[in-house]
Amino acid sequence: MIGNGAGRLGGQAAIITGGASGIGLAVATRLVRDGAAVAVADLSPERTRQTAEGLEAAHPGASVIGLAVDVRREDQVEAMKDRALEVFGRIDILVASAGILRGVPGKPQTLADTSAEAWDAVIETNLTGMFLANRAVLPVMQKQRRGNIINLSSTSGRRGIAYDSAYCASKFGVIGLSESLAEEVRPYGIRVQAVLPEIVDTPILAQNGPIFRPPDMLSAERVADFVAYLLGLPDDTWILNPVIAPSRARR
Amino acid sequence: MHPSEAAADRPLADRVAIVTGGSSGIGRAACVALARAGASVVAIGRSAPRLEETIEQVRRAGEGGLLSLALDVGREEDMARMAERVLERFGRIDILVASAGILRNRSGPRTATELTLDDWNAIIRTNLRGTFLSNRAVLPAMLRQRSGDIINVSSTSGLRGFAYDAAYCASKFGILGLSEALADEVRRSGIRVQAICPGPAATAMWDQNLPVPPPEQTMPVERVADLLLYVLTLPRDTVLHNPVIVPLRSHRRQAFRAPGPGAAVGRGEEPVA
Repeated sequence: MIGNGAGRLGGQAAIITGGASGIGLAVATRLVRDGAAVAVADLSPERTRQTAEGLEAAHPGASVIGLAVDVRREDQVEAMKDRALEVFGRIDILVASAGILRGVPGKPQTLADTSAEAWDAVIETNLTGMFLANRAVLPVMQKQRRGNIINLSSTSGRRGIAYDSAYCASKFGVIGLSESLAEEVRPYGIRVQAVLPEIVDTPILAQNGPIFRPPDMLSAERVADFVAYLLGLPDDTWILNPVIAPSRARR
Repeated sequence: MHPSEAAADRPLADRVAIVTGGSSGIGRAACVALARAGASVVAIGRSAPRLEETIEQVRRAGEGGLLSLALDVGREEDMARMAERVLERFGRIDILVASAGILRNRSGPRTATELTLDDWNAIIRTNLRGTFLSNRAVLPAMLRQRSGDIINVSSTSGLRGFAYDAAYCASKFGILGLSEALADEVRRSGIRVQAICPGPAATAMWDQNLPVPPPEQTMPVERVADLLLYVLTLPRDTVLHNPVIVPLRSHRRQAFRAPGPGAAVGRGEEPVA
């Protein structure tokens, strides 16, 4: 038995991209608590290592590894999958939450002012990175004839918002990717679901610089609890592109 | 059992829940799920004998209070009476699950061109007017309490129109509009309003579609009841917006495509009458 077999995800192994901060970190924490073996994949070697160590220390018996990966890089994403498979022997769950808000941190920009570099940075991390992470785990899940993929989109994946053109384009794209993939791999027992959180209180907001902070935000833990719910749905059912939001915020 | 365990097992202990459309389908499954979660359950339906069957199942599921009222959600005085009787009996209303709905009136599937005004009116009356009237009836109590949860049962047909289902789709789209508007009105008063959009569930509602066969892929009503319970027990600071729950094996495209000539018609969803 891998992981901490006590929880309801005991025996399952998960990779969480963007797992060292924000929603990814909250999901990693929740999945460890539920008994899964977890690979925390994130850009910073330092933060992934600290996160994995912290989770193992807080949950005796848990098996957690940290994997430094730039999700934009095909070779690194493949290496991430190989390493997780080597350590855990299987991959049951992918939660793809690696994402950025701005290519150039510090200032929301109109599309007219958006540089190609800033555009590419957002699309490469949020969309291409999601493609690469999804594609990497599929052969493993297909062989197992079992797997659960959760891709983090956003309400910005349903409605465009001023100053967020690249982010919105990437998050719309995540829904398209997820719906296409869901159809392709359903016969293999693999379930692909996208989640659309409204504004969540995470470090990603700091990329906006010192502008306004919305009064009503979700905590990352709320999203993580919901991801755990989606992972635990009976195999015959799924929830399509659910929007989770703060109850007091105006839509 | 340790008290904290009991709390986790019965997250809705001491809550009073009304379920319209409680005499069959999703509504009946919701009654059972709510009772199992510890709530006192009030089942509303038009048919007293069928409500009896619900009450039997609820009695086996939980130990909370129990009441059934044979009332019509489309009648203003019936809905006023519903709130009155529940307050007399339990003193409060914490939850409303509005799931009363019909797919057809008397005729089978009809194109909009052939749809009679009587059939149109009957479907809108139960599904949309009934949701409005049941929602409005419980609001004074919830506003007084400054707490409450309303879940309105829409459908995947509330997000996309399907051939032969003009009235049903109009009513289910309408439920989403009503729910979103109401949610916005009461969100600062401690009342949470959410709608859910189930795909095809295995209910007797499909009998109204005969001679067209029911969809090949349906989900058990318990799946929808589980989702209802989940959205009801979310932390107070969180909502799900119109979640769509469907059978995994129903082909998405098929489920969302209007049927072509010769294809099975009537992809509307959920239950009751």
